[in-house]
Amino acid sequence: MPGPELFQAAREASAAFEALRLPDAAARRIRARLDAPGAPRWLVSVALVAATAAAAALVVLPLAHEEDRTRVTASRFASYQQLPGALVLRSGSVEVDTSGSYGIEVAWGRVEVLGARVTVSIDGDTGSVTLHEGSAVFRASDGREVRLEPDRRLELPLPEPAPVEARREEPPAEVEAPVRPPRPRAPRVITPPPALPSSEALLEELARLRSRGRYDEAVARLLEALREERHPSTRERLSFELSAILSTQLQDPVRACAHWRSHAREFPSGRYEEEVSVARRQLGCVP
Amino acid sequence: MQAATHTLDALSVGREEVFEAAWRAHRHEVYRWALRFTGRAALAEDLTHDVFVKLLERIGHLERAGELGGWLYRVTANLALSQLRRERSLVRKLGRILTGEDETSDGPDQGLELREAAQNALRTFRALPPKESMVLTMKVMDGKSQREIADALGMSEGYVSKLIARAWQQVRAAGWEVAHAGA
Repeated sequence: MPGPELFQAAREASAAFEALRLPDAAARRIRARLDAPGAPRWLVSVALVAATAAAAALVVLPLAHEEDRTRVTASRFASYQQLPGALVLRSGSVEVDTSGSYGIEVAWGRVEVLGARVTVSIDGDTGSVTLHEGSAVFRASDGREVRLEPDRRLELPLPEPAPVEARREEPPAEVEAPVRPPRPRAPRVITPPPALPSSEALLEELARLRSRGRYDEAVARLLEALREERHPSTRERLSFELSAILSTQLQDPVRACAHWRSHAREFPSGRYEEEVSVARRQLGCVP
Repeated sequence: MQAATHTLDALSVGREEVFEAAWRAHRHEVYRWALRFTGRAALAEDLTHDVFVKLLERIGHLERAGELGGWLYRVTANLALSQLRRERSLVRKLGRILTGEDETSDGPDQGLELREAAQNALRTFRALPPKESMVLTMKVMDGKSQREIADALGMSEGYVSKLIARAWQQVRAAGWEVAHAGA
C-alpha cells in the first residue's frame, strides 16, 4: 500500500532523480545518432520519399557527367567546400562513397580514395579517417603517407615522427618525366615531359602538390597543362581546379577573379557553371 | 536547474557552438526530466535524442526564445506526453498483449535508491492517464505552477486545473493522503 503523504514521498523521489546523470554509454549512443551523417530517425520516411523522387529524377534526367558516381554525405554541422573530384573539409564529418578516385583535403593533408567508402571527421584540433571499404591513402602535408586499412581508424594529425636526420624535400619521383637517354639532368620542373602525362597522372601530381601545401607549384603546373592540347572536358576541370586553388588555398582574389572570368568565358555553359558563379559572387568579382 | 540559466543570446556564437554548449550544459538535465516523466531509461534516452534533434531544427530560430533550459524543458515535456499517449493507445495495448511485452520491465525505480513510500509515489504517478501523470509530475516533482504547466504543454490554465483535480481524486483513491491538494 502507498505511504501516507504523497508530497513528501514524491519529493523524496524527486531528490533522488537530481543525482541521476545521463549514462556515458547512452550519451555516446545519442551523439552517434545525432552526429551520424544522414537524417535523424524521424526524418527517415521523409528521406525515403525524397530518395524515391531523386531516383525518379535520375531515371528521367541524364547524368551530368561521370563524376556523379561519388556520393558525399555530410554531418549536420560539417563545413566543407566541394571541388571537382575533391572536397576541402574544415570541420564536422563527411562520408564519401566513390566508385572512382576522390580527394578529401584536411588541415593535415589529404585523403585519397579509389573506389572506396570513407568517413573523415574533424573535431577541433584533431580528426580521424575510417576506411569502410576499398582503398585509401592519407598523404600528410609533411610528405608522409599512410595506407588505410579497412575498419581501422586513423587518428589525425599523425604522431610526430621520431627525431631523425633532417628531412629534405624530395621531388615526387613517380611523376617525374622519364629521362632518356642519359644526359645532363635538366633543371627541375621546367623541362616539359616528352609526352603529355595522362589526365589521371596529372591529377595525381596535383593532388600530391596540394597535399604538401605546394600550391604555387600546383598553379604553375596547371597553367602549364592548360597551355597544352587537351580534351575540352579535361581543360574545363583543370581550369576549375586552378581557379579553386587561387580562391581557396592561395586566397588571391585578384588572380582568382581574373581566372574565374576567363574560365566563364571559355566554358560559358560549363558543368561547373553554378559553382563558378557562387565563387565569383563570394569573392566579389566584377562581372 | 542551475545549468538552465544559459540563454541562447549568450550562446549564440554559431549554430554548432550553441548546440555543443547546450549538449554539454543540459544533457543530464534533459535525461532526468525524460526519466522522471516516463520512468524508463531506454525511453528517456530516446527522448533525450529527440529533444536535441528538435534543438538542431530550431537552433537558428531560437535567438529570442529566452532561456534555453526552459525551452528544453517544454520540448521534453511535450515529447514525453506524446510518447505516453501513444503508448496508452488501444492499438499499442493490443500489440503488447499480443506480443507478451512486459510494460514494467524497465520500471521507474531503475537506478534509484528509494524508500518504499517514494517508490510507491512514482508507481502511482505512472499509473495515472498520460496527461494527469504529466501535470502531477510537473507540479509535485518539478515544483511548477499551474500557469507554467499550462504554458509548457500548450493548455489553458483551467484545463490544467481540471487535470490536477482529477489526478488528486485518483491519487486519493489509491490510498494516499494529499496534504496540499488545494494548492
